[in-house]
Amino acid sequence: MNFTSITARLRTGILLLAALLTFTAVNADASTPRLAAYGADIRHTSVSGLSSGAFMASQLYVAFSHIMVGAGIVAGGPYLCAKSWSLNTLMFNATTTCMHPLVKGVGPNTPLLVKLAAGLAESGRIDSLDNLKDDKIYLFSGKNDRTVTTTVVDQTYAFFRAVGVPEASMKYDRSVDAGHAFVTNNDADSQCPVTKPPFVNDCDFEQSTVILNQIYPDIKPPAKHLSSEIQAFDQSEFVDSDTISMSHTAYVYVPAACQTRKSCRIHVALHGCKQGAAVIGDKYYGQTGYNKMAEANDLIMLYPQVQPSAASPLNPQGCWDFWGYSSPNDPDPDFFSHNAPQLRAIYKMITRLAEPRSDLAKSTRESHHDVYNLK
Amino acid sequence: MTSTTSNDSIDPNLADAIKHWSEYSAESARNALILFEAITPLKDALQVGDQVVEAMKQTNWRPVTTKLGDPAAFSDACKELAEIQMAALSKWYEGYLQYLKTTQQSSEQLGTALRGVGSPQQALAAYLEASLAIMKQYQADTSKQASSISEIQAAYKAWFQKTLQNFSWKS
Repeated sequence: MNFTSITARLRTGILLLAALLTFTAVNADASTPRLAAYGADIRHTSVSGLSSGAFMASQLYVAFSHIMVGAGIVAGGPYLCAKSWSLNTLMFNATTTCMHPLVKGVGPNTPLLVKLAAGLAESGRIDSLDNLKDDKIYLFSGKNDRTVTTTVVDQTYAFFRAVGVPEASMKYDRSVDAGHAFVTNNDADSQCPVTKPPFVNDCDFEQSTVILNQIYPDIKPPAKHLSSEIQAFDQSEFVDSDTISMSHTAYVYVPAACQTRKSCRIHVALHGCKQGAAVIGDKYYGQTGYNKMAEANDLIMLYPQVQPSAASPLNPQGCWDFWGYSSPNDPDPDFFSHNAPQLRAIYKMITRLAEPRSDLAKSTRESHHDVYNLK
Repeated sequence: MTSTTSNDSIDPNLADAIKHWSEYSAESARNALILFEAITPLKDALQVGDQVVEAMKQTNWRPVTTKLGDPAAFSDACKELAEIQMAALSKWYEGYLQYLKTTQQSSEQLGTALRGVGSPQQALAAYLEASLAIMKQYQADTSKQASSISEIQAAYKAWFQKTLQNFSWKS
């Protein structure tokens, strides 16, 4: 056999393999089911998140406050934080002022942010800020967090106070020696004071439990077991922009009772940078304790996903958009209102869950049943 | 018949060291592209312009001229500026100390890397690994220093706007 023939055979083999891989990938995408409707109780929705997920949680919470009853902000700054100082670009503000400002006085510009938020509410681009007044909010800043410092989270507290949320409705915890991380009570996670991937730390309490306890009255302790599987669903049907950086697949946990008979409330949990399923698998959506709380309290857990993108949009760490990267060509990008690309995608997912149950839900349940065997 | 390749004569440690350098180069190239992508001067200028106009709408300029003569208001602004200066100096000093520390550690690392090596290839591998570790440490220092410079720059601009904001009437 001569060299040319070996090369030709190799080339054919590679082409066949590539075609097979392409087919498998396309087929895998096509097989991800649609998000089903479960007749959820949309008027008692809540949201929480860590870091960029916390900034995003603030945005979702304030923009769509008419369906919200509370929020959990772990190491996140105030709504519109990237608009704090006009002489800095949004990205510059997001990565300095909104994370670790040089001194306290040049942290987030809360008085201006409150004015801007009021203007947005007045123009109808976000819901009325009055909706926030009877809500419950949880805030957390680790003592060892050098990524988003306590100075910044203090301003999140100040923002919510300024828009009328009573002090008694807020729980702000600054007492834990935690690094920049979501907190669990799992020995297998990173030690409490460190800041390192996957940014889930063992600090001897379940933060998900504390968050949901703060938001919803009469909450029950977490269940021992889950009654159904975590479901992957096709997130791309909710995305209407090429530069949004959201993954093809996202995740939802629907307890058995919520699948068949009850109208359950929804909690949206937003991961931080470098924490999407594309980077850390099920660590956030499967191992932070939310699902067992959902099981015990008839909650539907929704886990939208963002993935890293090296260019257009520039989001190399897979963060949620709180400075406008999802509108890369717009000098005045919308990342904060009803019409912001990522916010409207998540809102569409929430409304889908709240639609009346249909055959789609039934067929999705059946197709998931054998495919997934997650915690 | 057995075939031989040139890899047979390469020490595994040296092959690893070359691989690590190659990965580092690829990662550096990726980071350079990301940095290049982040530089958008025209968009930034438009963005800042829009934001300044938006902030000016929130500012009443009339009292600014009178409050500039108010010693108390002026003193508060100066205090904040001094605080920023001190913090900036402290950051610079921190960065300088870190560079010194890295330099000292580098000479120690290079000195110890070649101890106990049994062949020229192992010596080269040890040298490459040590110099890569040093390079990465200098890069981490530089990155931290760049982040500090950004913080300082953002702080001065914020102070300027905050001072104007405090001198103006709330609209």
